[in-house]
Amino acid sequence: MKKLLFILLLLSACKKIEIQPQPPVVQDIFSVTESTVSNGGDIYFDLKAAGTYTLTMLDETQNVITRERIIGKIGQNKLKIYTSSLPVKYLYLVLEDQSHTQIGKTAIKIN
Amino acid sequence: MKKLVTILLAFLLSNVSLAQSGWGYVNYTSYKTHNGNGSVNQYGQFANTAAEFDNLLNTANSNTTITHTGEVTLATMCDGSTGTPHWGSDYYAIKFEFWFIPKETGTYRFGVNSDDASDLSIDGTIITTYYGGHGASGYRYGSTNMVAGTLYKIVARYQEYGGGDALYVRWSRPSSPNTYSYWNEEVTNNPSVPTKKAIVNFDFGSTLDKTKFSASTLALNSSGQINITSALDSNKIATGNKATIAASNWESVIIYPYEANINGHRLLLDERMFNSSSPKFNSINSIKILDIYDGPVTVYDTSGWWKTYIIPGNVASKITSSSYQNYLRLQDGWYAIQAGTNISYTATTSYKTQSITMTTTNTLSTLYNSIVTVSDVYLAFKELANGGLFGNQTGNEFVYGIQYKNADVNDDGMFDESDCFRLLQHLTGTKNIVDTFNLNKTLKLIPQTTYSTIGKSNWNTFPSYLSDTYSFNINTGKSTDTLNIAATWKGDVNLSHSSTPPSNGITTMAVRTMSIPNEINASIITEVSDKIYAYITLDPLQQDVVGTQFQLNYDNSVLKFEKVEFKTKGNPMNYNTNKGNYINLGSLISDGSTTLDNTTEYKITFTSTTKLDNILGLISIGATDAVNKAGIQLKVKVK
Repeated sequence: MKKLLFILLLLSACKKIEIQPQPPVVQDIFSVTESTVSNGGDIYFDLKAAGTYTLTMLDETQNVITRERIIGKIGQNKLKIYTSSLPVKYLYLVLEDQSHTQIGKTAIKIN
Repeated sequence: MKKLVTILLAFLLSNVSLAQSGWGYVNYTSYKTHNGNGSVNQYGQFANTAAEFDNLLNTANSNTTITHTGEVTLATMCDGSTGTPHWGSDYYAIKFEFWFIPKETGTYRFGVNSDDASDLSIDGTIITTYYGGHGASGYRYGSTNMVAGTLYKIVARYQEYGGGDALYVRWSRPSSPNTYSYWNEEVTNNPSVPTKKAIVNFDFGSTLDKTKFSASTLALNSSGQINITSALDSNKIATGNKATIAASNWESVIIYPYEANINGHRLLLDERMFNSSSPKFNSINSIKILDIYDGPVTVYDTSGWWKTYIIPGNVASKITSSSYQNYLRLQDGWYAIQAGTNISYTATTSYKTQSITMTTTNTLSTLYNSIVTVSDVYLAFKELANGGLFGNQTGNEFVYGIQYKNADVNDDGMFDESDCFRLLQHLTGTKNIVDTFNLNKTLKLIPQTTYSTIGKSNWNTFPSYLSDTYSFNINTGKSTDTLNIAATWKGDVNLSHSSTPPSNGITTMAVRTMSIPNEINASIITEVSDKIYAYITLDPLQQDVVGTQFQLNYDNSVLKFEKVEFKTKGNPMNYNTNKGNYINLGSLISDGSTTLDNTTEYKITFTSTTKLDNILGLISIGATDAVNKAGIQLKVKVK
């Protein structure tokens, strides 16, 4: 019996321990005051509700450079940001919901 | 005896005429210090302050003597300096002196690295130091603000007590603060270069970023000013001869009375007074005659015995007050002067005609698209409509002659419907005003004094001025010449990117003012669905908008332009042109018969070769323009 228990113990000790891969730590772009981005880079932000949102880029004089309508999901959202044809190297990014309520605003420096 | 030899040597060295090779060379003075044997009875081993350095190089100290002077290349100094002739390998010091003429305006950063002590000063102010005894263990830096084209005197010096020895010098320019090197074109050991200085003030108006323009590689500052001294050619060339006429015993010169039509006097020289070795008559460009006149003359007539020149201005009072009255004879209003053959000649020299060439870091086609816009086109049509066909009347919209000149885009000396048509073709992308976009075909550089005289009735008597090069004369007798140049552009009818001539008393709203008080709103939104769409909408507020223009940038490595759909009222001429990396689009109601309202919408469609989930930043608005019915340029606020 002792022997059996020993074998069982040995078998259980040899069981492979599976390590779950951790998702990379990403930062909500609107949680910081300024970020540096490169052309084609990813940006992340969290939404509390799914729906239609707009992301607006403004220059330093608060003139709109571009605006995109997106469909957001609850939780973390990931988008690409393209910078090679933008006329400025420093801009502001504003996230608004459908009722034009500002949800987030941050500054972006283009690398 | 030894002392005498030393004194003689020192005298010879101090008076030696140094070669002054100019650009890329520095002068040096080498010293034997510490009596050449390490003696510290007059100063310490190492210079620890500027004052100690001064004392170490002071030849009043018997332990310090000058051993060599001359010039070496800038590279010799900057790359270690030990290639400079000097005393032994220990107990010596070298002082380098040179003139620094920066190519750029802004913060220059100078570094020295040495074994042993060193410092570097600019115009007498110490900029960076590495004092004390040590090896060459790294650069020590200091910064200073400099103005392009200005002459600065730099002194770099180092001293060696014992062991290793070296001096390294380098600097960085304002445009690239982290790039260190040395540039021959900023250093000369010839203090006589340049002998003239010149400052240029370019007036581009208030809209353009002047720092994106350079004149002969020297960048303008934000005010449009530039010191072009370093770009001047200060070499004088032979230009003719000066004749000096002294008193003698028979009449050989005649001065006629002042003549208003030539604004001067005719001066006649008897050819028979010239001998065969005399210069040719037409080479005389300056004359000194007794105490009556000394200055430039122009050749009037050299066909007969009496060679005739024009003395500018009125010298009548100089004649009557001359101390040579015994040599003057008044006859029928003119004076005969007894000069005999007493005429001598000296060659005259003068500076060559100078020129500067403009360049820009802007992409000119894009910049030009924001200079010649819908406002210009509408204003041209409005002027034409008010002025009558073929421009045989003066309309009410243009204020300045230069507007006609800029609107005369086919350069035929007449502003008419063909110019308006060309402007319209340019706006709509059918055909550009110029065949290639370069400053030589678009930019006009005009002396400010001339610019203000270009009027509505005489504008077509002036040359085209289209050129990227501006020529000027520095034979002004001044040590520093200041050139004021007005800049304007072909097709810039409303002078939005040009110098505004001084007020001529006529007021109108047709010309751009410093800030455009009139504003309208526009909006953009983009989205991805089956294709990629951008929508631009208009809110004219209270304005009667008759023209709009948007430059919609897009990333052509990802997107492919497909079309623009216009939703406009009033039957305007809608236009769009794909310029490769942006779309030029908008509307124009050239006769002002209707206006654009807030239902105006431009829908721009793109496709993509790759699947896109979002397009943030792929499409953006660049330059914008709008004009109202009165011809006033409107600021477009994109919200």
